[in-house]
Amino acid sequence: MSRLYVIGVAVALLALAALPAMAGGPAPQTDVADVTLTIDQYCEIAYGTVIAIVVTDGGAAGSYTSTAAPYSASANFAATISGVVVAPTGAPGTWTNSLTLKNVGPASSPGTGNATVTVSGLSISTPAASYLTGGTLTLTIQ
Amino acid sequence: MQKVLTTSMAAAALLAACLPSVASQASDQATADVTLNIEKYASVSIWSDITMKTVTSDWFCQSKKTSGSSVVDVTNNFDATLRVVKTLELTDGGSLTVDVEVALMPVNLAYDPGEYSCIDFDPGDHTGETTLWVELEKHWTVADAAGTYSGTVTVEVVEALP
Repeated sequence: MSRLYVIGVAVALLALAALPAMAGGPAPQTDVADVTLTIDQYCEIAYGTVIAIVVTDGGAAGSYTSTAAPYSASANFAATISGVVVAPTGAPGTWTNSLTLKNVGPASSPGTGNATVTVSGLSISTPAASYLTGGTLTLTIQ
Repeated sequence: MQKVLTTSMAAAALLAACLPSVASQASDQATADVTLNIEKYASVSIWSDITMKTVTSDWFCQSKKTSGSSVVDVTNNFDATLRVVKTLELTDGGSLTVDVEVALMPVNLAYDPGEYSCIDFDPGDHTGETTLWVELEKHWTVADAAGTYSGTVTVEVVEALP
């Protein structure tokens, strides 16, 4: 009797295990496609201020730096900003530039910074004159 | 003459003796049940991976769509439904993700587009009849970091709802 009972329970369990498969029909057939999205690198930088250096009262020997020229920059990657200054045509001295916010990227952009231009090597013996053309400061973000 | 008559009578007697056995010849039949069970079968195959790409200079700071697609083959011998999970999440492997809309074409308006994109198929070979369409529309900004985002989209064939 006990043996028959055990067999009966086993049969019942097997039947229960089979029920979901029968009730749900065939198992879903699936396929998977990989999907990719490529976002290209993008960056921009802009400023439109005229950078002027004025030496007044005869000046003293040394360096003269322009006021800060603000610019804005943004990039969707870790970008670096660099600057190249070209002195006005015929201008004396040595010309350099300095930048703030030299790095910009997705986490911090859009950002703003300042650029300044410095001319050094002037002295009282540097003749007074105006050099108004040909000078540029080019900022590059890459 | 007498001999011929005797022979004919003998033949007639023989014939008569045979007749009852012909008339009572036994017969029998046996019937076996014959059944055919065709199991339900379905297959689905996506032809290719799906790629999408932005075009940098024209796209940033604007709302634009990008999309990709692949043909899907379905073969089934029962009333079946091809469906796809509606939302796809793309990730760069880190914390950045982009949600993408996924649809099957042609659109089946009988289904609620909020949950699944579905297409019903009668039994048969439906090679090349369906397109799996992935589309992303968003306002692109520099916050969308450059790189390649990836994910998967799964389609499945199930029994059609009654």
